Amino acid sequence: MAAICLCFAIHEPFFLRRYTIFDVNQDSVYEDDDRSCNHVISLAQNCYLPMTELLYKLFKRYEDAFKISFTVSSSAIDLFEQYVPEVLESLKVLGQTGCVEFITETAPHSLAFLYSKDEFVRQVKAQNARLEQVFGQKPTTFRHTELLFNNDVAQSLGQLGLYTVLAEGTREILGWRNTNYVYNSTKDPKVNILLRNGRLSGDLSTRFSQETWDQWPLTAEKFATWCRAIKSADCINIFGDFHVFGLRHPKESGIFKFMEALPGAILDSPGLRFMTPREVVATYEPKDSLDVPNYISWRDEGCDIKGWLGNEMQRDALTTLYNLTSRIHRLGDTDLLHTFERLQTSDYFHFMSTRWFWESRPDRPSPFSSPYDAYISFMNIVEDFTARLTTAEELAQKEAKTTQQQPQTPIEMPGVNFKTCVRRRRVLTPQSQESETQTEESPRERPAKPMPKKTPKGSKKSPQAHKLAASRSKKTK
Amino acid sequence: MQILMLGWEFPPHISGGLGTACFGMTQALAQKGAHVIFVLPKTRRGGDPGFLSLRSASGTTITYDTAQRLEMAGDTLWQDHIRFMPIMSPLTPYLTPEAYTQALHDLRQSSHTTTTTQLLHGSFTYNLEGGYGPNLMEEVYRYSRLAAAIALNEHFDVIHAHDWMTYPAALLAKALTGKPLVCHIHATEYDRSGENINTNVASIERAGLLGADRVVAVSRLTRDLVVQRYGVPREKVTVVYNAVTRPQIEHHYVIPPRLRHEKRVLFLGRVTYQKGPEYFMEAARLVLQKIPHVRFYMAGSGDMLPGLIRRASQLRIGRRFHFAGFLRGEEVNRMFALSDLYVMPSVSEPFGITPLEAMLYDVPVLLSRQSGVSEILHHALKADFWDTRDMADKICAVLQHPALASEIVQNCREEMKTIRWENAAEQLLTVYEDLVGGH
Repeated sequence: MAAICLCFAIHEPFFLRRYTIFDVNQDSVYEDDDRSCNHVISLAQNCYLPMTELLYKLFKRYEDAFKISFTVSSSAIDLFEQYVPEVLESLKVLGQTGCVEFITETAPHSLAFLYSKDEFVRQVKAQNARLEQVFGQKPTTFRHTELLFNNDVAQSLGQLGLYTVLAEGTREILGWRNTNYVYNSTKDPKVNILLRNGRLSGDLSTRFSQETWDQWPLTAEKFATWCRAIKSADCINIFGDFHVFGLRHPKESGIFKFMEALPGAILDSPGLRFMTPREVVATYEPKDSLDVPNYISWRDEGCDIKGWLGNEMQRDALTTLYNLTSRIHRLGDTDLLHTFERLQTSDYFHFMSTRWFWESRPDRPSPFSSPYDAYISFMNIVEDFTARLTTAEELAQKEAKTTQQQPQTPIEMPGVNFKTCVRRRRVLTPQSQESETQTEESPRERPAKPMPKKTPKGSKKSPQAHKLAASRSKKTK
Repeated sequence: MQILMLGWEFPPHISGGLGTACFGMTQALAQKGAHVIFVLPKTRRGGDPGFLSLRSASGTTITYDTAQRLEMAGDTLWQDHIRFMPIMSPLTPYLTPEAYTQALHDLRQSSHTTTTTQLLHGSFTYNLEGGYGPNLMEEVYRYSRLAAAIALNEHFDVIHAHDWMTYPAALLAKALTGKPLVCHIHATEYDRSGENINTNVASIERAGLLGADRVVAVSRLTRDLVVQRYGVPREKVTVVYNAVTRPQIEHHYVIPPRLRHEKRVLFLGRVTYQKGPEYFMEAARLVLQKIPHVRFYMAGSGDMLPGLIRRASQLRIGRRFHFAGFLRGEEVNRMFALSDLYVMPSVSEPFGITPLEAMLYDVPVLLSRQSGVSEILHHALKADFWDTRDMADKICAVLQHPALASEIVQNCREEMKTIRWENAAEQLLTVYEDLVGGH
């Protein structure tokens, strides 16, 4: 009896705009709202809405027999909330069927683990809370950005109480073993590791629409036969990007038909069933311990982290950004922390990769014309952000001083204190106005904060875009 | 393969971009076993590089018979296509109206001596000056007759002509010998002058390109221009990118220590409309607002120079913006070696070989997107020439982030390995073979 474990990653970045040195200290809007909006609407139309609809149908048809698991990054949740709330609603509906396990990750799909353990822990906790709030599930499984994994990650996860982790089944760590069993970590035996079956995942993720592939076209029956043919297996782990459905393989390639037929084909095969990572770990015992001293990741052929850290520019950008961590944490300003988190989105560093300059992924396009432009814009943004941080720190220091000095000031005569009155009015008026406008414009419970400081431009734009998205998706229906 | 190549420049006679390109190209062709006969307006002593046969058009004897044949073939050519009368005129390709007036004045002042020399039995010859003197058009006319006379006495399979100055000669040679003609276009009149074109030059260009059996353009940009402006059929035009010759001996220049970490940004080229020097100055102004301790160098001369010097003083950036004048040979290399960034903000650049030269000295480059070379340099920084803020932003980034500069240099160095004259020569040889096989 082998379990098929399907897990798909949902992550969308906010697009940064071309931010020049002349914008530094002048304009703290870092994102290209229009572009992000248009992009995410087209994604919803081609991928998220048709696929979630299909999955809902399948869950109803096979009841508890068909299962799937997702990671949903915080930036994706924010984008959906802001521009295509239907997608988030459909994900919530899928979650309520009980056939979906939501897997946690670092909130902005970041590489924080490599630079700051504190920030990593904070982000995972934040993501756990977010998933619980949005989908009502307490996650127990962890999947790192691009399946980045090593012994230290396992150890940190154990400390966070996450005892299941997904990783890439690379040859170096496997040795004589195969990917189709549950393993645990040598560093922390409580942490179970599920390894990606590279061949079958690749068949689905990359080769499905390649007409030059000798197995093309791939049918659900053929796929089920391959799964059946694996003799010694507890679990067959197929991990991929959610973009596989309708973006990497367009609708015409028959990916939706394939997915529609897949549960039937698998469930008809004796000895095969669907499970989520949580169930796999509860059912099967770890076969062996894995020692992973070096970082492993997927996507790159060499299964390493060079796609994000391969060149000087990427390392420079990451170091410059993460050098601010302790200052941000010390200050504790929520707005700045939010921006800081957004800036850590791993895509921004992938756009700086010169290695994959040529093979740009059409489903994850870079908004910049070259990796150099991506780096230049990002560094200017960090420059502006640092300046904002410094200003906030100075302000905080001043306030701390005045609060210290207050007891020393002579006791004032009881009665009307003009000074505080004036100050209070100044502070209160914009805030009260803002809260009024917010309740008027966005009736949602938790208004998604745009990353930059609130500007009239940004706050006006989002409801418009929201309406636009709603009207567009209605048309498609 | 025997090639009759007609060119106006060849080092050391004149070393503009055209001459440099011809040198690299013929050297690579020779290495591939082709025999090149290169006809220059005038050769000087010690000019023969050894890998090709250099011929001087100036002084070639035109016998009575040849003159008759030229007259028959040539008259119709000039009259049908070019509408040109050989008059004394100071028209040159790179002149503005002011400079033209000056040249015209000089021409009238100087006692213009006839350069025709009568020989025995009705034979005669012309003496040519070469270069881009005031009577360029007349020289082009004479060159065409002399080069055609050379063509009658040589054995070759293909005629290959570089730029408009040699197109009349090439058309004449093609009419006389019936050999296939390849016209190579390094720059069009529209690149040199924008919309204020010299119509004579443009009509010679059109006649040459339409009369050629095959046109070779130095970039897709130029190909599109030629198709659009001259109505040359697209399928007739092949793109062959230029390359750069690596110097035999690697020079290492001693770079003087920087005073107060001052970085240097370089513009090198003719200071004319085509090269966009005013955009460089505007970008410099913007950069200096952000980073005050940068030095900008503008090397080269041209009609826009006085205006730009005035502009620098108006902007009050004269202290940081230096005019290095026209540099040659060693000075150019030294200038490259000194620089932290090379900027080429050209308004219209058919190819642009200087960024490749800058890259030989591990200098990062910032190119205008309106240049042919940006089609093959994927790892250079690029900006639209009119977007001076974008340009300034990129200049600041290179100067402030060493990681960016080193990454660009490293990737460009890899890319340079594939930009070689050997590849260009191979493409040219296939063009020749197609033509020779077809005839």
